Amino acid sequence: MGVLRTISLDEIAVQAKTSGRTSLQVMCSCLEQGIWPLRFVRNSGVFSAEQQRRLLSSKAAIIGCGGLGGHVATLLTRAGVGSLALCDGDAFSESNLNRQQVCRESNLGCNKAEAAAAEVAALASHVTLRVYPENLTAQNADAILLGADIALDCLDSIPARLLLQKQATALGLTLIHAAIAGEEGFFALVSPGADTLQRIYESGANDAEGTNRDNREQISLTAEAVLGVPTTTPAVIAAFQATLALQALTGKELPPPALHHLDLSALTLETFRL
Amino acid sequence: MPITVMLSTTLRTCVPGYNPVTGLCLDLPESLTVGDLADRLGLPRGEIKIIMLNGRHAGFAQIVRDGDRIGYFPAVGGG
Repeated sequence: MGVLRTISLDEIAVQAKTSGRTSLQVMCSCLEQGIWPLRFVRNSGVFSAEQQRRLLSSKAAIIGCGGLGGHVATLLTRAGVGSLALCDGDAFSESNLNRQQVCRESNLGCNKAEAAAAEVAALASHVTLRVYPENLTAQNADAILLGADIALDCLDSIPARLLLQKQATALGLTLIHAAIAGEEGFFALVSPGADTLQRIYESGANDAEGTNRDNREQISLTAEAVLGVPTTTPAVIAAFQATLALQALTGKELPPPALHHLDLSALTLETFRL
Repeated sequence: MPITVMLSTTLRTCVPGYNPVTGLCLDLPESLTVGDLADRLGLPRGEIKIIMLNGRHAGFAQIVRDGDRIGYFPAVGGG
């Protein structure tokens, strides 16, 4: 690989000012000419200049800004995704400090989506942000997902995940799902219109014998409620989630539909065909 | 008939001494269903949300065969 032509943050700012464009527009224009913003130059072994430009022109909707979402927001920002919608109605509490990337002593009590937006803005001032300090509902979903190229399921309840998949399907969006408990986590790319989460959460083992649909409330105490979530699990699973999102956004060949299960206690990653 | 059983998260507590690295290596005397196997291991069926049989989504009614690898998973929704 030859020496790459690069442009610094200061040079981008000057060009933006003199040409009346945004820094994001300047960076896209540079990448079209094969000139890499220095902030992304270490991505050049994985992304082409055109793929990097595509990321800058992409919009991701991150639904849930806690354990998974905080990491996903910062990872996608560092990778170069140019526009984010951040959605979470919850506020940080002390028990979040062990694992939630954006949670600090100084922002306890603050809304998670707003705190994630502040973190992203500090990391990358060019990122366009839309912030929704509210939970996803059937009423607000369209507005939150509007214009997104991809949605990331970083939620913490199964009903909310199913609602997100339904809304993403209606909009023809690719969804990147992840869920965690203890030292284990799951992630999956849900293609537009696929019923992956129903297959995981609604038509599981119990329905194979036609039983237990009415008993679902009895098993509502999910694994994470029992085992908690330690420090490293959301970071690792969020990294896989962000990787899948970046692959999809840059037009890379995607793996076949599958549910991936990571077990940090055994250091294993298994892939299951659904 | 040797088989391997992998348990996830809370289901591990149903089998004292479960080793997540090796799983359970069992030698079944006869063929039985995935549901029967769960019963024998003391896994509450109501807490099993996903079953994977040799890497594929499966149900309680499927027959366990020689050399199979079965994974039982509860509902996991944390984020």
